Amino acid sequence: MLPVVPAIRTVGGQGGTLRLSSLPAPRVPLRTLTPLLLLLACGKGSEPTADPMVETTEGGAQVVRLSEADRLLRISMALRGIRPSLDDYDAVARDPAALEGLVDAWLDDPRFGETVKDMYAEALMIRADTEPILMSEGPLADATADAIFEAMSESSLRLIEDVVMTDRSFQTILTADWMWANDVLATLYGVPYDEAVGGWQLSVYDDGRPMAGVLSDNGLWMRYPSNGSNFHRGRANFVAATFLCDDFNEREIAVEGGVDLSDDHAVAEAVTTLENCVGCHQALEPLATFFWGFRQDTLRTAVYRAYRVFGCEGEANDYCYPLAFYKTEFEDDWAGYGLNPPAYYGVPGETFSDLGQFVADDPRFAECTARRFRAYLHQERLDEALVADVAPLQTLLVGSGYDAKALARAIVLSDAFAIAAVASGDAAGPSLRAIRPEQLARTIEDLTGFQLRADPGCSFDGCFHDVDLTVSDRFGFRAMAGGVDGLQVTRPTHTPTPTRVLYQAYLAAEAAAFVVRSDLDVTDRDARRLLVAVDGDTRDPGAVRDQLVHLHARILGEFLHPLSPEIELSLGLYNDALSRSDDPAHAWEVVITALLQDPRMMFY
Amino acid sequence: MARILQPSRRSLLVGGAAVAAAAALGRPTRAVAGSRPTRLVTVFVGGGWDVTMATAPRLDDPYVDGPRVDEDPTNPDDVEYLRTFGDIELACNDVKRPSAARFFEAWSHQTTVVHGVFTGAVGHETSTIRMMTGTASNTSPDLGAIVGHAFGADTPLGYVALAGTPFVGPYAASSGRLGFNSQLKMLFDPSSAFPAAVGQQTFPLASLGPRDRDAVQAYVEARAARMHDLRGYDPQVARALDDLDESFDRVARFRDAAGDLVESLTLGQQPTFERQGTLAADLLARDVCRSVLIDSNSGWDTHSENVGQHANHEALFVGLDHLMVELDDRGLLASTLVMVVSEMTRAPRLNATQGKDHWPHASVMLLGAGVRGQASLGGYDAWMESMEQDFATGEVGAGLMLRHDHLIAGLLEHLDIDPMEHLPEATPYRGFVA
Repeated sequence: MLPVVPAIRTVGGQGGTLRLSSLPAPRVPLRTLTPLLLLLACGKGSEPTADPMVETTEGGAQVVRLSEADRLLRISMALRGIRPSLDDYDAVARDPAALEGLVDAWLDDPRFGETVKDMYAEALMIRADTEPILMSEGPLADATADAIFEAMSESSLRLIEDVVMTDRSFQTILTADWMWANDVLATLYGVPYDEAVGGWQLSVYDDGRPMAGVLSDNGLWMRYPSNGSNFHRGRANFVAATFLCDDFNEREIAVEGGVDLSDDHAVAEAVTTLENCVGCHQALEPLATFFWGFRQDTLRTAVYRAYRVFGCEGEANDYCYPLAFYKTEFEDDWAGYGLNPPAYYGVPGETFSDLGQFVADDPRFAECTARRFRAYLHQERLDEALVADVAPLQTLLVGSGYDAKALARAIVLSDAFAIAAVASGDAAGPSLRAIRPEQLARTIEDLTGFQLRADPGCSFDGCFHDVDLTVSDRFGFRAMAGGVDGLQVTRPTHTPTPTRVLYQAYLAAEAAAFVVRSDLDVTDRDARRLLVAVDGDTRDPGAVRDQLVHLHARILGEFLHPLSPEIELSLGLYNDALSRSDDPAHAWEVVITALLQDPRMMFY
Repeated sequence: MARILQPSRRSLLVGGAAVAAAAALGRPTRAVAGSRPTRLVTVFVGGGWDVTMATAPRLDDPYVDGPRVDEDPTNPDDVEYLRTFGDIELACNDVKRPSAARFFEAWSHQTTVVHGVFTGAVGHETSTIRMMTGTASNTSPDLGAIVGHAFGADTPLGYVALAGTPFVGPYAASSGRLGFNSQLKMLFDPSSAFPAAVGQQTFPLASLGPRDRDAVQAYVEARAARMHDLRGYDPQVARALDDLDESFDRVARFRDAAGDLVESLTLGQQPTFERQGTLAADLLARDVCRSVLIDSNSGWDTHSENVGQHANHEALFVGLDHLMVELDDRGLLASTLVMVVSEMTRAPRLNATQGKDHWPHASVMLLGAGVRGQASLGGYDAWMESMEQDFATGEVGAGLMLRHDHLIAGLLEHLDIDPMEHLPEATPYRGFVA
């Protein structure tokens, strides 16, 4: 028997039970009139129109599906981090089959590329901006710390983004024989760069290192130094954990006594001979051997000393720009420690490129990639999805030639992705997603044009003159808003927290003030972002309602009648603010501030 | 009590005078035995401390590269020696780490050192998760989050991270953090914003007054309530909306109770360890929260040049003393448990770069409410590995290997929180209870 499901209409809607046909038509601007009317007429929006359809899934759960409009909203947010346009809603209202075409278009949208970068920033934990950043010295004396950080952290992410957006096999992220460089990175590492072209461009490490996609990236291995006598084991484990979802660190260990820890040779022998060690190290050691061309680390202090103490003379020159972070002469040094030759879980290899190919060809890479995309888009833990839910995605990925877009497409168009609520049982996906800080930033910029970029200035750890506070942790609010800082906060939070709501209130207020000012400075309403039905001195009640209808549609994906309870609530807020200030512009600032922190903004 | 080390003659002499010295320093060592803590300060020593430089001395052990390897033979005062404070043994150096001895002179009567906590892992993150949560999952709440949730229902926040790595698990809505550069201040006081980047409009732009903000808040809450009416039968939706409601409520109360503390921060600067201690005491004294996480702010991960541990220990004990004084001055010691924890320790031997690598056999310091005084529990064997110990007394010998989950379960029990709710398979460790 079904549980009592109170007052559900079309799920996702916030409205009451108005009969739309009995109400006057909304008076919205011409460019929004058609889609809104169509949505209202067809009952495809989130305005309540019918009793909920409770379905029973294959697994026996009783679920309610999203309305078409809310499904569109969820998919757009997941893939691009922005709301659908009103035209998008209109297209699906006219023809539900248009959804798949829109999804295909969104997968080609550069903002899907941004989402891919965000996903792998979280996986690689490489946007760790609270870590010390390399010094602005020598040829980079004028480079800001934020620019150096961007160069180091974004190169590998751009490679992954490019692989996806150019429809290459996703395996290429581990096999590409190129890398991405901007001017700062080219100076940091000494890679070829065409100043005339500028910006981020394709390049290659020409220091003799074997290329293996992101595994060849200096920035990645500076983020993951190999400490002391660790002999790159941490890096090897990073590869296994990140690309195979097989984390050696999650295994229980028991360290036996009797090993002279001051003797690197003795430790190297122990991990391959002692019973308690061999279980992990027989696989880990040969993986680590692949990394011997890389330096253990290049720290900020090393660069400082190289320039300021040693004048870049002798070996110190390796720590002056361009950095000599990889040296082919290091590649075979493992032999001197009696370590195992490079191999991939028992299969011998030779070069770093072999490692990339081994991982790319490993079935666990396909499974891990499928699991990661699903986990990110669904907002699940990486280990949360059942094998039965991941296996079809893995099959699809491999069958499509490792087409990451096809993978993402399958996930967002699945039934599990369209669950609005679970009445009983366990559904195959969550029924609510919380807006990530990166998505919030993109949504706010898309809706209002507002960016929260600051110039925090100089301190002992560098000069920062252009920092996006929405995605920074050194100065901004990413982790406070539920994101990861890549260092201390390594998993996102998908629920409201005090700092999250505080931040969203702050951002909403700033963005609302910005868009009201900028919109009302523009005479042509069609050229505005949000205030398309009113001017700064408009007091006509009909126009105000029309404007509210438009704001609910554009910001919240909520298609309401001008006399609906939701519009009445917003109108009350508007009138209240107007009564205090006698300034329509201020009243709109208040209303937009509220809508930008509405639960339908926080969750999708 | 349970250590395998033999104290030196000098340590006996010095240690015998410790109690008198503590009294002479003017800070009485209050007896808090038997009291149940209802507040928690977690001091995280991130990176891995070398306990052979303080509470697990092996000064004469040829297997251990202890602090003596750093003695300067040209400086007659740079001498490592042993002192005892009851059962606690301490490696002392009057030049490099004088504050360690001073700390124990003042606070050893409220201090238990638990040795031989096996982390079962050697990675920073994995070990941190284990030592903080008692589990291997970073979705589990850490001890601070549990305490904040359990005791913080009536406080604006349960758990506040002034720095460090909080694991809040399901208790995100009762937890808060300052930010790396105190940027929480910007959210409380938008006029304190960083300058805008070139080409951006100057912040703040918003012109909302208090009544506007109240109206906006009322609108958002009404909308959340409406969503709850429509979809609240779904447990996930209900929980998210409950978290939202709770977050709104806690923000408002936090602003009222601690707005001045946040506004006293300097935007763009991390609070020092000592400043964190003062803030922690203020937050607890005002009942803003029941649990605070602070971080010692030092580079403890000394894979190279382990000599850096001396300065780290000196700063740590200066900061700990400051924290204890601040708690004491506010009358909080009888109700506050202080846990000083690192995710691991360092290997007993130096590596080729004069550093020390990771070691999964840890030590934890517990201070304050209901904690045995001058107690040293558990121990390490000749290879600096955890020895089995009696979970009731901390005596080395027959018993179990003490793991991170046992310790956290014991601490939960000490805090009158049922460990079965969080760590049902862990036997609570009680050796530290007075």
